[in-house]
Amino acid sequence: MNYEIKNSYFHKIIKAQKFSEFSDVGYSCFLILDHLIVAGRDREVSFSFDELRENVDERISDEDFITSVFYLTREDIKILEQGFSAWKTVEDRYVEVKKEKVLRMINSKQFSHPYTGEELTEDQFYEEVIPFFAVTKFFLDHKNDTI
Amino acid sequence: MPLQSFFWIIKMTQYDSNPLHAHPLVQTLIKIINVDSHDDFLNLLEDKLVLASEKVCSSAKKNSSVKTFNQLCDSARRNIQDPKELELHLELLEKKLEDDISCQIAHMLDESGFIAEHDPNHNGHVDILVRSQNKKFKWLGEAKLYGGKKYSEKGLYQLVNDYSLGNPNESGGVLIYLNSTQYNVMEVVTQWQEYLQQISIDSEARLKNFTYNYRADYPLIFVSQHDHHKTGIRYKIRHCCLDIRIDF
Repeated sequence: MNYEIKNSYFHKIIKAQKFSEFSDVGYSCFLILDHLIVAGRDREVSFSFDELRENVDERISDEDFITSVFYLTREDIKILEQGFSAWKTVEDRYVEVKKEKVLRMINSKQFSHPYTGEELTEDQFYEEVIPFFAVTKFFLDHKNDTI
Repeated sequence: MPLQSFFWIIKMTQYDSNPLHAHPLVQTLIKIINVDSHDDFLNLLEDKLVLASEKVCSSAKKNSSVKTFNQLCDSARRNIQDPKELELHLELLEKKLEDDISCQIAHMLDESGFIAEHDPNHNGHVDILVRSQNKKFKWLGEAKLYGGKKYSEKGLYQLVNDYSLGNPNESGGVLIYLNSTQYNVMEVVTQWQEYLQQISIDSEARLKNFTYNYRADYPLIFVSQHDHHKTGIRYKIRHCCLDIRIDF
C-alpha cells in the first residue's frame, strides 16, 4: 500500500522501526498518527478503538490495526497511552479504572468487576474492563516538530 | 507510575457496539505488554514463536531467499576452486540466510507486544533477543542452519557459554533451520534431543542435570532444563526446527 511518509518527528520515529514484511502494522501506525496530528485532541479526551479504526484503511486487517494501536503506546514511541475503563452504574457512564488495580487482577488471575466487586471469569473481565487510549503529553509537545 | 493527574473523559456509552474491544488479540496484547512472571512471559512468547515460525515457513519470501541461497551456493561450488575460499564463501552465504530468517522472526515478535531485536549485543551477538516491555524477562534465541547435530551444537555452545548469563528471568532457544536435509522434522528433533542427553554427561558441555519435556500438544518442540554453569539456576532452553525447505 502506497504511503508518502511525512517529515514530522513522529513519522521519522515510526519509519525507523522494523516492521514485519508479513503485516501492515507500520502502515496502520502512520495512518493513526496522521489522524492524531489533525484530531487536535487534548490528553484528557480518550480515543476508542472504533474512532481510530474509522481513520485506518479498511484493507488493513483488524489484527494489524489492533497491533498498531498498542504499538504506539510503546515506551520508545510514546504517542499513545493506554488506560482501562468500566461501567459505573451510579454515574451512568464508563469511568477510568486505576491501571495498577487492573494489572493486579490480570497478573494474579483473580478477576472481579472494578466497581461492583462481582467476581468474574477472565473472559467476562475483558468484556467488562475496556481499554481506551489517549495521546501523551510528549506527543502533544512534539507533534509539530520536524526533522 | 500514574500516567496522569487528571481524569480521562471516556467517550463511550454502555450501548456502544464495539466488537474490537472483544477481539482476542486485545486480551493477548494486554497480557504480553503487562506480563509480570517469567512463566507467563514464556507461555505468551511460545504462542507467538509458533505463529512466527509458521508464517516464515510458509512464505513466498522464504522461498525466494532459499532459492537465491541455493543458486549462490551452486555458483560458488562451480566457480571457486580453492577449497578454503569456497568453505568461507559458503559459510557467509549460510550466515546470510540464517540472518534473513531470524530477522523476519524478530520483526514479527517485535510487533507482538514484545521488544525483539535481531543480532543485538548481549555478551556477544545473539541472533534474536526478546524482552518484555518492562525489561524484566529475556529470551535469547540462537539460530543455525541444519548441518547435523555437531553443527547445531555450535549454536547451543554459543548460547550456553557466551550469551546467557543464567539469571532467574532469562531463558533461551535453539532454532534449527532445515534447508537441505532429507530427514523429517520429527527425526531431526529427536536426534537432537538424544544427542543433547548424550553430551550432557560430559561436564564440558555445561548441561548439568539435563532434563527435557516435549510439548504435549506440539511434539516437534521440546524444552530442556539444566543447571546454568554461572549461577546454578535451572536454565530453560526451547528447541525447535523451522522447515524452510522448498520443493520437499
